[in-house]
Amino acid sequence: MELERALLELAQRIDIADADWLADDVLRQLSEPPPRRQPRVAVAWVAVAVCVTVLAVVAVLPGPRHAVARWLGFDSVSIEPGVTTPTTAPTPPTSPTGSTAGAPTTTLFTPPDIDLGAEVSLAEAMATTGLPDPTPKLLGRAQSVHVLRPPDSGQIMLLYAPSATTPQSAVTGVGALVSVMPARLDEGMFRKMLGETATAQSVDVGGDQGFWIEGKPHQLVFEFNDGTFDQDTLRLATNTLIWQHGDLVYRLEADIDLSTALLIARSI
Amino acid sequence: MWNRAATGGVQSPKSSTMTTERIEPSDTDLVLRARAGDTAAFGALVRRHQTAALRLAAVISGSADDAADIAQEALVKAHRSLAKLSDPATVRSWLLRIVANEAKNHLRGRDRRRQREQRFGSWAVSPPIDPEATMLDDEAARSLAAALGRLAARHRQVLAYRYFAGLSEAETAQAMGVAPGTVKSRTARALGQLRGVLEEA
Repeated sequence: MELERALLELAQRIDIADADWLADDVLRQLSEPPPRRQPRVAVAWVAVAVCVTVLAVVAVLPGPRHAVARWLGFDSVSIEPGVTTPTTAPTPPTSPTGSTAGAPTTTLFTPPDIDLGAEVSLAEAMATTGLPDPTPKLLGRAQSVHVLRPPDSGQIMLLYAPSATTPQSAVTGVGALVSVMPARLDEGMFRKMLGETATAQSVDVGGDQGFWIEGKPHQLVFEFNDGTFDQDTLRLATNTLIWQHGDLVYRLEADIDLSTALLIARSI
Repeated sequence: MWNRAATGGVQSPKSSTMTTERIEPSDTDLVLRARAGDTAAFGALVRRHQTAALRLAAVISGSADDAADIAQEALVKAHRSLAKLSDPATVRSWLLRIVANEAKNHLRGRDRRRQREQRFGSWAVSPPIDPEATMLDDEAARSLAAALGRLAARHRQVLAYRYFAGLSEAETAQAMGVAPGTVKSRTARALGQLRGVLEEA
């Protein structure tokens, strides 16, 4: 205990040179263009030619393969532990429900009492509806997957538990809902039915036309591709990003800001 | 495009209830903004974790003089790799892991063991904030620093994360890519080794 206290005290007393300027120095370096490598073209091509020749020899002659490969330094892959930049964060522990990324609190999360229809597997949902996987990479695997009707062919709805990225909705306790449906957004009708208690802002979602809806819409209306209409109030009574991608409409409902919503949408 | 939320259109009902209370953005918010090109958000993230980053770099490399350079290099690399961070909520342990790796590279490239031990013992140490409550006079602080330099790298690393960067066991486990139980046992072994080194001195 004494030793631990001594370490904590030493930590506070290390006198680090130039510490005050770290953030400024980092930002300055980020604003500079990265150094460009400009190898001499002739030398580079000769190097490529030599490598191709040697690799060809390695490929056709099993005998010298090992020796030549070792000479080139790639007869075995050497991994030095802990010296590379980690490419991903460590995987969070898997919850009893099997959910992982994007749902660190799933062990404490009980799906709310909102009618999303029967729970199915993602593969089942895609096979039933013929729709693509709507999972945003940024949120990872959903807490549960549902197929809703209308339309008759179905729409896929992903439910996410609250997480650091998608905080809990005060209304339902859900983190986020993501859905994909075969439908068309009719802007005129869509705006008219929102009512005066909500605003719809036109946004670009990775090149697709979309709308960012804030407030409490009266109704959200789309026309399904089979000619039927859906009139829906927002389930979360929170912010919604909705966008048209080809003949599909995607919808993300979560208590997040527009920039976060756009990042999640683009990760689909 | 990213600014439209703040400037666009009709005022939403939420806007009318805004107060002047300042709410600090979460690490996740800052990561998402930084990924969207907001360099200032990354700067805020750096400021939030810079003390931990600097101390970690100093302890692993043994050089308080080089710590800022190491941390700067690591954080610039981290900015370039932000898109690869799968869970923005874990950014603190992710950043510090990159700093630790940079410090280890620096250490490896720089010098041999004897030189490293000398460097650990030569840290400049600030006076205690409360001289009455201090456990370490200047000489004891230098001895402890020198003893850290004689630890096995993995032991020094776990102590650096826990006591110098202030990470929890769970965060340390994330940063080191090991189970929390391993952090606990490795910390105990590291403290044991450190006691042994101090007693020998």
